[in-house]
Amino acid sequence: MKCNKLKLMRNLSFLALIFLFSCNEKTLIYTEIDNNSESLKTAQLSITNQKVHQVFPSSNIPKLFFGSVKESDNLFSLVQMTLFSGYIPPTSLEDLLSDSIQVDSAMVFFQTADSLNSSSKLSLYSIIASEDSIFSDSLNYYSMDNFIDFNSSSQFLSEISLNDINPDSTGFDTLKFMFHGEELDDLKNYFLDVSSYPARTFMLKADDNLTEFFTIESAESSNTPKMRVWYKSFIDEQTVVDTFITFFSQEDITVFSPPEVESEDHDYISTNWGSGLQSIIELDISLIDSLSRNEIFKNSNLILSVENSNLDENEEYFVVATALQDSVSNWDFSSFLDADNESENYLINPGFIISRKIENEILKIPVQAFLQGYKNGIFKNNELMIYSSSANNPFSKVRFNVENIEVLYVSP
Amino acid sequence: MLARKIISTLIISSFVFSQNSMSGYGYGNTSYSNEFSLSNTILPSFKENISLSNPSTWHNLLFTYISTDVKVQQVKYSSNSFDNFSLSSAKFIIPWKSQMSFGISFEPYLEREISIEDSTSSSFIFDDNELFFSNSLVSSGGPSIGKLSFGYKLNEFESIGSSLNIIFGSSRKSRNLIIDGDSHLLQSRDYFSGSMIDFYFSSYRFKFRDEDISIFLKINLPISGINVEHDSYQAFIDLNDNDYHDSNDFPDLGQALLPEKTNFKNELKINSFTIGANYKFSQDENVQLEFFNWNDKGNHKLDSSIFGGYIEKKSKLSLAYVKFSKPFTKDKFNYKASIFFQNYGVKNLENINEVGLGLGVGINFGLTENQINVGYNFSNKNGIHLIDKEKLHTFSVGISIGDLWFVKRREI
Repeated sequence: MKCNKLKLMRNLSFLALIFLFSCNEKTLIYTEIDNNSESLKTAQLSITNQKVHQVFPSSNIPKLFFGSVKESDNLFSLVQMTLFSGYIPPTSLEDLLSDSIQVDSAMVFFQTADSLNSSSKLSLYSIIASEDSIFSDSLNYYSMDNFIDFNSSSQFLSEISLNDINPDSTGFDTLKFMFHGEELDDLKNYFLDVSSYPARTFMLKADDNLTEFFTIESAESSNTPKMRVWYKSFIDEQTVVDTFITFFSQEDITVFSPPEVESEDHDYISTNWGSGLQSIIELDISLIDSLSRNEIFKNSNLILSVENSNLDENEEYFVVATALQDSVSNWDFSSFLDADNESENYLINPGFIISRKIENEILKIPVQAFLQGYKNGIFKNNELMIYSSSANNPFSKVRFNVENIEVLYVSP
Repeated sequence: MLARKIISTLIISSFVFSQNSMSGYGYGNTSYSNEFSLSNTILPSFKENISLSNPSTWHNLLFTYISTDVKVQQVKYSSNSFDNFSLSSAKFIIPWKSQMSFGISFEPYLEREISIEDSTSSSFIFDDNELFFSNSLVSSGGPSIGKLSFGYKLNEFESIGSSLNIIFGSSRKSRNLIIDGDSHLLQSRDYFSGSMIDFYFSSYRFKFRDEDISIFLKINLPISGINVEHDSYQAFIDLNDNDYHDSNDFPDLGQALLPEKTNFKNELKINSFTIGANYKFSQDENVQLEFFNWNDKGNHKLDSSIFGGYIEKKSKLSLAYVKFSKPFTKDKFNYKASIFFQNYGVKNLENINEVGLGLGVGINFGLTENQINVGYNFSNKNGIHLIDKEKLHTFSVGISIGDLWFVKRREI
């Protein structure tokens, strides 16, 4: 009897729990709580200072490029090959010159994602310097005097025509320099002989007739430049191995004469990465100081209009805006070429880096993350650096005017 | 074992709060559990001469009891209707030799469960785009109260009781500005702490026409007042729409300001006075009259209210009819009916008037006079902020289970 009542009580408890959890909370809907436009506010920020400066051009270039365009000259590209092949056992360039090896042919080849149909030729040279390290990341148009004279220290090896270059279904076409006969002897004498010429560096030059911008994949790409050598190895009197070996690009760089920095550039937001031309703007942030803790920036854009550019029709141009680590003290134009300018090195703050493309002659850069970060104390400086993305053509230069900095901030 | 299961269930479920418009006032409305559908609080309702909310009557209990009840509420205003559930209370009471008694109980104290939103959107023009926005407000949780009670029989006619009340728990509030579907959240959390003491007095000395008139009294006083620690989090745009501030939101959690902690002393300082009389006009029938007066003299410096006002005083008059079953007979049914009138004095907003009706049935079962209660309450409020009239239908189910404690059982 008592057991039955306990069961009854237990069942009732469970029924109560089922009853309890079978109901839902819902939102009460009122006509209006307090909809008013005070929750959303807009303001216009102004620029209090701006400057243009020229930094040492970056060597962090994802491609090798050719062609003299936009009143600039492409001088040459250097490609240093690995000393040893990528196969086991390791075989060095010089091993191919031993008496037991007979080199039959060789091919130096590059890959491009561009299309080109030009009567110009691309020439391949070997640098015949006596040092093994002849260039570095710091080599560019402005620092060539610190390096050897590459033109006078080079030996012509081969040339190819740049007509009918079209990427296939893989997205690439291959530029092949084939070596047989006398050309193969030159390759062996001036490139494989690393005892005499330890630089193991090719120089690529397009002739002056190439007036189109043309790129090939560099060592940073998976389609890196390569050299393949076919040879016979005589193991003993009865045994001959007929095989090939491949060497890869180790380091490369393009040297070009960038667009000239003109005095008019100083008066605008000017950008060109080939010459290292960058700009910095200082925002009037008195509004931010007056905002309450819970007012947050929503849509806020720095809007720049193109004043002048040398962009081709349909050419894309990306601009990067970043926060700065340190505040700017000198708002006059400055250049790394100035003798007394060593201290002006503006480090970017990785907390705010954003890139946008010019569209319809207007560049719209969202800056709400920078403004909110400044408000929250993440950024100490109210300055933004604006520069050309390295994905752009290094010869493209754009000058901007500041149109507007319109911000929308809200308080929930 | 069963009792342990039920107690565990009660403790786990004891932080469930119900939603109605009163939760939007101040820190929410005080949640006094109505004794088994009656609007009375200290007058006998469980069994003859016993109220589970009045420790000065507990010495009349023959057994130790655990008791709880859950309720389902239907809120109606205009043409809207919403359901929600909550746990009213959980009590554990031990009488000792019909002379004294001890008890412990948990129940919600302030109910802040409310979620409201605009029914229409407003528009705002920015950057030639029209933005639509609306607001929603959500608060949830609320402090609970734990009571440690003691009752003592002074003599044949009088008894006293006391409860030490500990206020604890927290509530959350979220204000959402919805702009074109994006949530802009401002969240805060209030932590409550405080203590109060209740004094109870019961007298069975008086008679009218040879029938008993019992007088009951309760005084509730603050010991330390209720302090509130208010943690305010920085507003953010909830980009991933999960109601939490995380690394995918703007500003991301790592770049947001730390919460602002503010301590508010004596935000609530509540005292109340209740007096009631029970007239037993037949062998098992009673008429009851109770008057309740409540005041909050807290500082209310923190405006964390959904509405811009709070309840500073209220008074209630209730009249009830109760028919108790005869213990240990075949008469197992208790019938209860009540009507009440309540007025809320609201600071800064319109006062509220309430009229209510309660009906209930209690069924005894088992050797220990266990009881299941089923009740229905209806109340009609006028003067509610924004919606004016609100109707509440409340269905409740309660169970009280008795057992013998501190009695040496004889082997049968």
